Amino acid sequence: MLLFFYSCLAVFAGVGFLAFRQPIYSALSFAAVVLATCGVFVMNDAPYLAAATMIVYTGATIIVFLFVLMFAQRSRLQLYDLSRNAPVWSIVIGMLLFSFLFAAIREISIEPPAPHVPSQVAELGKLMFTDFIWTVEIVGLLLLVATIAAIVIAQDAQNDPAEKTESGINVSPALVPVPSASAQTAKRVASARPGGNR
Amino acid sequence: MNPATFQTLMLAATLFAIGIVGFLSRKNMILMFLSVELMLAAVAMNFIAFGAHYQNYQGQLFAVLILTIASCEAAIGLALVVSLFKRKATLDIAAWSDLRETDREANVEVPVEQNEPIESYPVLTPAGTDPLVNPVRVSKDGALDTLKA
Amino acid sequence: MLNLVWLIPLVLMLALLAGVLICLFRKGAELAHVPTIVGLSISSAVSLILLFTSQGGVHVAITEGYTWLSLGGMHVPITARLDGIGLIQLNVVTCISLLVAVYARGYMLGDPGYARFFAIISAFVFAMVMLVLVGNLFVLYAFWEGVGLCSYLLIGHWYRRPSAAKAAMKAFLVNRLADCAFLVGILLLWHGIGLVGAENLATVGRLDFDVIFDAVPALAQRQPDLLWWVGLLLLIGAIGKSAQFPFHVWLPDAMEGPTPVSALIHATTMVTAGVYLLARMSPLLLLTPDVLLIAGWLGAITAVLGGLIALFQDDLKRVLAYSTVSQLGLLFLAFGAGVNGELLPLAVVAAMFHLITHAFFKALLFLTAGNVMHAMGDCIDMRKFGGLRKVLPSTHILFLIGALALVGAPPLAGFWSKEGILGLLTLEIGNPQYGSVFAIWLFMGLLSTLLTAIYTFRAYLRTFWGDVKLPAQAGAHPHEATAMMLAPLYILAVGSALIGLVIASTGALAEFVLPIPFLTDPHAHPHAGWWLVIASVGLVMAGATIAYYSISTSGVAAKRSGVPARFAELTSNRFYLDEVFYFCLVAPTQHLSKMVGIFDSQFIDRVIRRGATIPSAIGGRLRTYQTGVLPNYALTMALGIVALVALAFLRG
Repeated sequence: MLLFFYSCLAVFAGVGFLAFRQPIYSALSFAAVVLATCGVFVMNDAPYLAAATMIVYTGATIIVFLFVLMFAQRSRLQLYDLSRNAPVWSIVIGMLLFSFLFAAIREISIEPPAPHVPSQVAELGKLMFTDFIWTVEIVGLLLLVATIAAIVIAQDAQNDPAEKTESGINVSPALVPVPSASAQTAKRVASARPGGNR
Repeated sequence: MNPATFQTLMLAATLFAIGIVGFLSRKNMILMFLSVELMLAAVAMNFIAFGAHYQNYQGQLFAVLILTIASCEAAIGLALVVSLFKRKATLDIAAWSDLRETDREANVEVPVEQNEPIESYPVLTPAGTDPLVNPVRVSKDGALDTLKA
Repeated sequence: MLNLVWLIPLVLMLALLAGVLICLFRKGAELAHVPTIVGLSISSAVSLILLFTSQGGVHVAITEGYTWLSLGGMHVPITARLDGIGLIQLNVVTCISLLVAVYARGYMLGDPGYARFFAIISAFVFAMVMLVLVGNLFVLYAFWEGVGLCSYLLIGHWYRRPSAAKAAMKAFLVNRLADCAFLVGILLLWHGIGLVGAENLATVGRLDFDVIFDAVPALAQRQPDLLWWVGLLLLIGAIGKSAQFPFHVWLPDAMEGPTPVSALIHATTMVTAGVYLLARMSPLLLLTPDVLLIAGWLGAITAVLGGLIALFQDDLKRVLAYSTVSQLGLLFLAFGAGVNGELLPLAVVAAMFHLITHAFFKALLFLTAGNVMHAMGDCIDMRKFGGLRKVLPSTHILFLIGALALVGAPPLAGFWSKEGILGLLTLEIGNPQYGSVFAIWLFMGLLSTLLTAIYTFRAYLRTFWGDVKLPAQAGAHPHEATAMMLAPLYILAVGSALIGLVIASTGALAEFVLPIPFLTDPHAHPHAGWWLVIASVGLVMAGATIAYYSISTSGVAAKRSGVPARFAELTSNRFYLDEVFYFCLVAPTQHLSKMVGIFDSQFIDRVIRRGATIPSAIGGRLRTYQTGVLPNYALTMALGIVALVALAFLRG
């Protein structure tokens, strides 16, 4: 019953994620989806994962996303948030994919091998640090590399002299004849922010 | 199959489809990233469901790995978004279409003209003044000021 | 001993290689004649050795020199077939080539294409020697085309001159026309031999001469029509190469080439390849008398026609060229006598005899004409010079010897060989079946003798007698040729004077040539009757007199009025045969190719251009999808994923 409740919550939040125009609201409903997902995890004997997801996703990732959104966000809605890209096609594809997955899940007929045993986090820890130690270490290393990469990318963008040219990319106009057009458009979009500094 | 597993799998499928739709339809780069995160979460949920179903911990372990990968992806993706934003001051994915055919117009939507409050009105030059010699402007607070000192 | 024969093509090939290297690296061009002359010296020495050692020995010897192809059971060797005919032709080719090459060393000195000239001469002699030697008809055909190619290259030696380029093209195309027939004949013969039980022989081996000679009697019994066609097509090939009516049109134009080339290729060696082919295939022709009859008629017509046209030519080399055509006609006439099977061996002997003597005196005449040309600054028009006997004394004597040999003045070479042919014709005048034909041929032969005398003496008198007249090109002091150029001429002059007497008196030629397989030894040996000798000598003298009066009394211009004028016009226009060729062959081909060209540009090109717009149109449509916007690509990708999943579902 609780599982169903969490599921409904997740789906509603997901729909909200799709439907909200304000990016902030979308991001917040994503956070709601993740929280509901954590509930589903608990229902599925994964309390450690529920906690980890809540901390990593809701506590860290979403917050960072929100920071970036706020950093980039204007008070008024932008055109790209107001409109959707190929909404009909997207929904058709989503529906089709869902129906395929639905059909596939319906087909599955597997029975659990043993009677239900409550989960123990210690068992998971033992598995992580014995049989899968190398996997975990490699993924940890990957995380470290990604951290460094994120710092480098962000810093490079700051120090990039091309930033001043506003077109941003160091390509000659002959190669790409119309980057300035898009830059101009972007500028127009930027300058069209209505009374942003008022 | 027990109903809990089935329900979880269905939820995962739904979330995955929502993620796909979000990725395809949103134009905000950050929200597209979030859609991808959503799909990853759905996949992780699949692992959890099967792990619970088979009473072992490999599913959860893989969910941990996916969580880590998702974090990496979020870190790098956000860094990229930030650097892109710094270049064009927009989160519109369509602003980055330099790989299009050269004779195509950029597909960036031009904003419709909005009714901004008019900040200044045209005024007639006061009688007896040659506008070419003494151009006049009305400042924001309504006072006339001559440009010429 | 017999394997020594492979030395000849080997050294010639090396000479050719050296010539090609000289041409490629453009170094040592002034020494380009050395490999050719050395190679030709060795070749002629070897062939002379073979000639004198084989006397009375093995008459048909086949040696295998080189395996061209060995595939499983198929074994295609290149064999040399040494017999009387081949050895004689081999000696003619190598000896005349050597003399001409020595002469050309002086004649071509300073020519920009000096190295190229000698390289092609080497190639030509190589191809010609192999043509003479090989024991297989198909391989013979390959070298037959080889000499044609060299002839083309040498006629077009001065390829910047439009007339030379045109003449080379003409020679090549006319020869192709005849060679087409030749090739069809060869293939037909191959098929025919297969019919009479040689299927198991290797593809090319079926055309070995011995196989052919073994098979033709059976073929004549079972497929006489096929054999007749084979004979006719081989004859067409022969008359193409030997410039017989109606294919003679290329030979006079071929005089655009350097004079040594005219002497070597277009007077003595290559043009006799047709005669050689007939002699070689005589066991086959024995069974197709109709073909020999055609050959005789063509030869008779050519002999008279060439003589008539030669009468009114102003170009000294062209006179000699038509003379060559006419003399080759006599050779074919001799083969015509073989229509009576018993006479065929004698016809072969007579033809080979005249071939040898003709080689000597015609080479001599051409080379002396070359001397004249050399002295006159490349002017060869007899209207522009005269009285050269004081300017070029040695050349004058040499030309006189050649001319006397040509007209058949006793006891020079031409007399003996020509009497041999005419005497052959007298033998069977009483024959009930062919008697009248033989009588007509004899008359035409005698007429050709008269014409020969007239045009030869006319040319001689116009060139060397009368008042001294020099063309502007000659410069102030026209000089006699160098000793290097004169030396081969003296040798040729001695040959022209004596060789007829030597061969006729010893009778060695008949012994040498005659053991042709499947040809029975003739019972009677022809001896020209005294009346024939007196008649032909009288004709020569009459011709000389006519020539003298036509030159001295009225002059050339005055003679051209009334009926003779029209006749002169007709002959100087070469009986309009070139025009006939043009309208029958060249013009239709041009029209056809024009039409094909229109079809090509109007239809095929349009279709292809229209077709070429399709990809660009498709591409133009497709590139509108290259928006560069990420979501569009993502959408397409997602659609693809959906399609793949759907496919996976549909397949279970």
